[in-house]
Amino acid sequence: MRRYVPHISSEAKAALELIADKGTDAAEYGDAFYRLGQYLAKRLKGAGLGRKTLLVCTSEDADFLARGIFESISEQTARRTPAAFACFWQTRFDPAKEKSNKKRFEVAPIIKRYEEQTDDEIDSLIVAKSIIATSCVVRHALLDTVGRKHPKKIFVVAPVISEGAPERLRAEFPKKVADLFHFVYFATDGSPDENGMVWPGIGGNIYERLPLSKTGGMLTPRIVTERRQKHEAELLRVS
Amino acid sequence: MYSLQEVAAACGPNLARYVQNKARGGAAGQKGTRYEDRFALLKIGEAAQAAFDRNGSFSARWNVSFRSQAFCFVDDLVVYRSATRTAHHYQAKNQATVSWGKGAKSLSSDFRNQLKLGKSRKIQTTVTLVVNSKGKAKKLQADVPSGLEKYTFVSFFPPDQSISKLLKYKPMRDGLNSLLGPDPTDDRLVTVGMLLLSAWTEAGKVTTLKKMIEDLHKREAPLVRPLNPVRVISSRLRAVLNSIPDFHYSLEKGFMRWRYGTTDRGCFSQHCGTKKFAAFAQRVISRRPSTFADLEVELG
Repeated sequence: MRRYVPHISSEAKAALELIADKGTDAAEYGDAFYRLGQYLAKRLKGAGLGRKTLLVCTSEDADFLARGIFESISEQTARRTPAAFACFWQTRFDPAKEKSNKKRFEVAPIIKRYEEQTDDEIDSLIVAKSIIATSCVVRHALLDTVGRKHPKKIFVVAPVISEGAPERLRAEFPKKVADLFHFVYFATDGSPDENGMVWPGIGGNIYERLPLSKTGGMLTPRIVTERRQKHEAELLRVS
Repeated sequence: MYSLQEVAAACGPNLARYVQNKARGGAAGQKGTRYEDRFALLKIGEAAQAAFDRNGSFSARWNVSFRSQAFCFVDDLVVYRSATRTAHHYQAKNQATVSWGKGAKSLSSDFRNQLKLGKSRKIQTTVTLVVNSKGKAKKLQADVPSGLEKYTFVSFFPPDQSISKLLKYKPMRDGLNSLLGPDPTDDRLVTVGMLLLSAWTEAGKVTTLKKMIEDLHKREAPLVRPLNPVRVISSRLRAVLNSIPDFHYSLEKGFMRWRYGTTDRGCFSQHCGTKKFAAFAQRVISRRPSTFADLEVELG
């Protein structure tokens, strides 16, 4: 049974219904995630991101949910240090042969990253994910960044989370880190099924539903290409 | 490691029956979630530290076997090195009160009988009690029953359930690092810890360090270091990679680490001796990417 957070806008609710609907086409699905990113960013605004912010996302979320959040928070911090963007490519692997052990040992290490430079101490770390089901991908993103960037606040942001996801994620970290977590989301669905899927959730597997264009073995999000080119142009200009 | 007859010969038929009942009582279904399993992970890591030489190759004479619920008195974990006939037995107690006790079935009696059994089979044996607080460990070490002091130890191991929390315990961190490819970040150390815990859980009652590593490689598990690292990649692959502006790579612990400019970096998920890496090399050689944008789709 889905539960919405209080004071959710009708626009956010409509976008959540669109992504849960298996009949929504790929372009509309991607647009809905982009808008959800913008709506979630409004909630982040009230929480006070501070001067130095790093947004982290996975490659499949980068052009949709994460772009929506990033563009919105970048507007808000226009007169401060620009927010930095990071995209992680994570390889999910479940080593368990036996069904009873599946998911218990699932891992998603980062094997490739695009990450813009930030100080070793930041005000806010935002980890954006289309859905937090088993928490495996988010856990690895946090494991990588928290120790390196020493954020004062950690925002775990997703349109939909599964029942108990905040508690499961907090249990993985030392208390002083877990106490920094703020979960920003719109809806809670039931627990993940044996395949790690949550229903209605985001209407199935995001890889099959988003308009992702792979030119080789791995996806390169447009936002990464754009920002990398911008960064390289900056470097050329400075030199 | 020991048979019913050997235990009976060394300690008498009553104690052999006691060991038999003890061995039947192990909660095998829970393996992977228990305190003793997380402790086993530490010992697997420590064994790996000894087994990989300075050149990063696995030395077979340092291979050890790991047994859980073994047929013996001190049975939570037994680490046995056949090359030297050396056995380290561990009993792990993650509870508030632990005492040596007296009489049959006490820790004191189990530890004494274990040393007697080892001696009867000419196996150099140590017995260690593992507890969840440093204070408790200190007190129990001071109270080791008389006559057992030489080969009996008490160790502390943290009670934390998640591997990420256990990383703050340096011996665990160092142990997992010895099984990981390069770049020991928390993300990567937890990955290797979870993979090994899975391998240990599925191993049954006995396995070896080498077998666990080989099993993970067979399943194409990411980041686990190779037994024998590749030290050089093909000249044709080198030529293509070297031609890409601002792209740098190195081979570390048998893996290819790379970086591009100041924003992009990574480490190929499997070591350079795997089929996956060979397929990557083949694709790169045949497609000859000339920019990072062309190459990056292959860097999985």
